Amino acid sequence: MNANRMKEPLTFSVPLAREAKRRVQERLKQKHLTDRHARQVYVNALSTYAVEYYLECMGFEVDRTGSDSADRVIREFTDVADVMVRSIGKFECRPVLAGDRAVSVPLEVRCDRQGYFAVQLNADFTEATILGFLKKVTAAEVPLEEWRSLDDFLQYASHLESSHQLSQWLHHVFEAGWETAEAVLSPPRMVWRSGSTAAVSWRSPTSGGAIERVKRLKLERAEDEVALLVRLSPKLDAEMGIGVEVYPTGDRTYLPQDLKLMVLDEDGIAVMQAEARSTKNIQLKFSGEPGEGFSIKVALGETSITEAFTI
Amino acid sequence: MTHGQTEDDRELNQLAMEAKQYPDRSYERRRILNRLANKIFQSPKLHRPHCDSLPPAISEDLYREALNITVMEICKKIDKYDSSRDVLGWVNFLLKNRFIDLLRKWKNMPSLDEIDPIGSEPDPSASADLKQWIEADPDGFFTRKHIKKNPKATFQFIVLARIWEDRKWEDISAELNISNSTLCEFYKQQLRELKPYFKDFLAN
Repeated sequence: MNANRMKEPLTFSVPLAREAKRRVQERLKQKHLTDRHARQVYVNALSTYAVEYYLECMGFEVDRTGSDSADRVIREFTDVADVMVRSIGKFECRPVLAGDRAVSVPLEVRCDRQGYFAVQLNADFTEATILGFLKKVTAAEVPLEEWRSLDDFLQYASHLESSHQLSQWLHHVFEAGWETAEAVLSPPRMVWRSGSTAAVSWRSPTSGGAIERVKRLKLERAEDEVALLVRLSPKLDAEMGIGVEVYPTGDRTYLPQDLKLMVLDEDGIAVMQAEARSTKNIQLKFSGEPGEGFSIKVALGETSITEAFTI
Repeated sequence: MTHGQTEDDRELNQLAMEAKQYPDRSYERRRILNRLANKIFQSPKLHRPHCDSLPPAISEDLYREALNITVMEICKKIDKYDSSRDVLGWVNFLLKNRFIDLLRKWKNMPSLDEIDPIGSEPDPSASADLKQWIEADPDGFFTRKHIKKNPKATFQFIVLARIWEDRKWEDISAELNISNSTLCEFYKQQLRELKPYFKDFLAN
């Protein structure tokens, strides 16, 4: 391997042919509000096509109907060009035209994305080059020089793929297997709610208001199935309060005897532990910062299940 | 078929072999596949299947699509790479066959119209209808909720400002004395809630 080549930032180029055109045609079928809007939909469609193609070549699972930009109404009223990757979340794919020196990233897409791609389109729209990647964008225009190698993206995304993304929960994006408490636990528990949607006033989901989900964990025997509840409580100082609770499922009132619940840090070392002895539930509470990783391990005898999370 | 004739051939073969050594969906494999795909796309030794009975632009378009399909297939099936052969041989074999597949499909399907991004006409009456419906707000959808403490900050106010008056977030933020991010989050959340009503309207 030529050592010099390793230092060049990694990019990815793809021809835009029939499939790309088909995507564009699908999205331009709607009536448009303005001329500028139609042009934006056109270039956004090509950008998202290029990134979806890249992600699939790299072996990521793309959910073509799960993105905002696949939704006609959202496309009509916001400038979105995102792709949805299973187990990870949404990535924004901002087009940049030949001759532009900076990439425009509108406010509408600067919050609930796992990352951003800069996708350069050539003058006759026959080729797209994914020039770079950023995890976070806080400005409306980002100069080309600031975008980083796709190597950063591959490393970041491969890591995210293997853990549950709690930051996505704040935007109501949940992976399969995570259900509401009402759906899994019976009888229904008294659950503190963050603010009914019937209220006239609206509060941002990230300012107070806990979000919780439950996952069924099947241990060795069917009667040992338990429900793992994870509750996120955003705090004022950007830290996240995490509550972890384990309940029996079905008609059972008590947890299996000697069931253990552990919280592991990023290195896999147990930092908290609780054990069930004729109890109805066990719980642990801690807090962490966005980006931190941890795991939850539920063990009974020889069997254990570990779920990895990134805050 | 001679093996590894040129520097390029050898590099492609080496990349493919290396990719195989790492687990599927690992960072290391992905990094190599990225470079392998780039090199294939840029290779001067790609065959160029074409069809003389088609207009050159269409034939060229089908060729490029066949190349896309080929590169994706190789990435997904990299474990099947036979290291005693040249990657390029595999590429050109797939390329020819995918081109033939596309040709067959194309002859059975109506062609895609050329799409001119500049010429795509907006529909001024559709835009005016939509604006009028939002302004009139007969069912109260667009003013039903507001950002707390600020009854003026409704979805109606924001959408009219953003879409029809082309105002910047900063501008609206200054007028309503609400932060950009709160405004934007509210707008997006309301849009999601109001989706079904918009869908109905836009369908008619």
